[in-house]
Amino acid sequence: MSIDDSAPFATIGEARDRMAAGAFGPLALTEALLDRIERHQNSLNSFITVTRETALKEAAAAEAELKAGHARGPLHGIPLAYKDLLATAGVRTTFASKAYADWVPDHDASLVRRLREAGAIMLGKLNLSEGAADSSSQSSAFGGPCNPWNLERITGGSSGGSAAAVAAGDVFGAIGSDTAMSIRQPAALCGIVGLKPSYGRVSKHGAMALSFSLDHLGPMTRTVRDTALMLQVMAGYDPDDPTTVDLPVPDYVDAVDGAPARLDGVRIGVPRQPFYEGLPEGWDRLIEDALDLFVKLGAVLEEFVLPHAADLNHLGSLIVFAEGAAFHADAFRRDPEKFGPNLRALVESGENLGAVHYIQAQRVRRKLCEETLAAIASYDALVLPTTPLPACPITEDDPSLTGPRLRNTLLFNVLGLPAISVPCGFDGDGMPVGLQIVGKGFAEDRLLTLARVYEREAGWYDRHPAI
Amino acid sequence: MSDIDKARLSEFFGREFSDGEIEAYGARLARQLTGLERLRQWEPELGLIEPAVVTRILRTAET
Repeated sequence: MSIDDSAPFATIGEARDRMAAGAFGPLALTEALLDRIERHQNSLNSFITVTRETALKEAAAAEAELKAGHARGPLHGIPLAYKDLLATAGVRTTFASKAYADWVPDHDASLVRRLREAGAIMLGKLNLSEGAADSSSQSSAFGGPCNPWNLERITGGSSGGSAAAVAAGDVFGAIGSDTAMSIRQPAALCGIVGLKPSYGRVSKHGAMALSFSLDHLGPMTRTVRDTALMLQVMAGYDPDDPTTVDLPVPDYVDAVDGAPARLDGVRIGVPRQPFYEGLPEGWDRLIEDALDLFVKLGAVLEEFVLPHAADLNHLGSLIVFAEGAAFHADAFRRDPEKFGPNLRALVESGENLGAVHYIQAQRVRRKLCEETLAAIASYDALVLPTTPLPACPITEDDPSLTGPRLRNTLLFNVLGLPAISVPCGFDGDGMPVGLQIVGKGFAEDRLLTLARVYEREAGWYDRHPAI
Repeated sequence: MSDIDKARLSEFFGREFSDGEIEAYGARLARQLTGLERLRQWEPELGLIEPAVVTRILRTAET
């Protein structure tokens, strides 16, 4: 059984079909991607740890199971990788920080366990910003990852290694985390799909935290359907994570496969200010083309002002600083010199906030969330650019850009709403641009349907970097 | 960051910041100051808001 050149960029469904037809098995696929990762690692630096030995063992077992007529689940034999803040039993979990670089967990994060039980094969742990705390991933203690569309540009962050590995065809999907932008912004800048689910939809058990009440874990893939496949396994109540909500999990794959031809009657809110302002040259046209496509498909678009947009971001920032300082308090007290300058500044400045500041921020958060959710209740979705800033040259990256970069995303973490970034074209520099679609709470099925209709009609999903 | 208003910092954080701290914290300090200023604007409206349950954000959207 051999692997052809198209296999690394196949969808998860296509890979499963080819394995079922005997074109190749999990072992050959895993070997091919491990070789690919090895070839790319010097240029992309998307992995912190490659688990070649255990991956090959898992793949051999998956192959034997398939030959015996048994598939563990919907991801049987599919190679994935996980952001290096998810606990993996026996595999170091670093948070991209020297402060945690020697931690070898004795347990798997709930998501790692769920994906393994569904048949996924873990190829390794992916690079990120140190402590998931910057917007370019360049603060990683292991060196920053590079964007596969242009190796001199940032990937975005903090799930930069996840986005780069998926875009480069090194894995079929990845888990990212998103506190302010960290799944959606790197997904947009690397030309892939990234979903931040509703707060409480996906377990965070076993994930190192940046901000307990804003962190979300979610899938990063090359297509909306692959995102649905991963979310199907990841979603649901987890007794080990009290923030998960015990609600039924819809059939996300059915929702995508049954995506309608048209969107007649779908109401889409278009919050122009400030989210469409100050975009890089050429992005306006791509975003307007996306809006025109929704209209052509029958959707009803309505421009409106999203209440409290700026204040939701301001509150979110306060909460990130306070909760981030709390998470790192013990490690920082013991070994401050092991913290890089960006994470150190976050912790030290966060410690300046008082308990009353934090509690008041959460109280105001609740008030503003209720008012904002009521104001957007009549819309099926909101559509806006994923990020207002492009993937800058790595040499021009600066921590002060984090504030501007989170303008279009952090508020949806504060609100807890599901939001997905899908590719919507390429700018004049040949870099991908992302469109953000925001759905209703716990209605990821409807959000994925909408995203799939756009993806299918827009057709950007089959472009891949020539790396 | 050098033009950040030290008096405002002192008012909102309850202490003075050295030039070295202001330099080290960079844009983060300005973001925090803006956040605290906005927080103070909203505090008068919190009187009747029940303060618990900060993590069930989507309470109204769950049904």
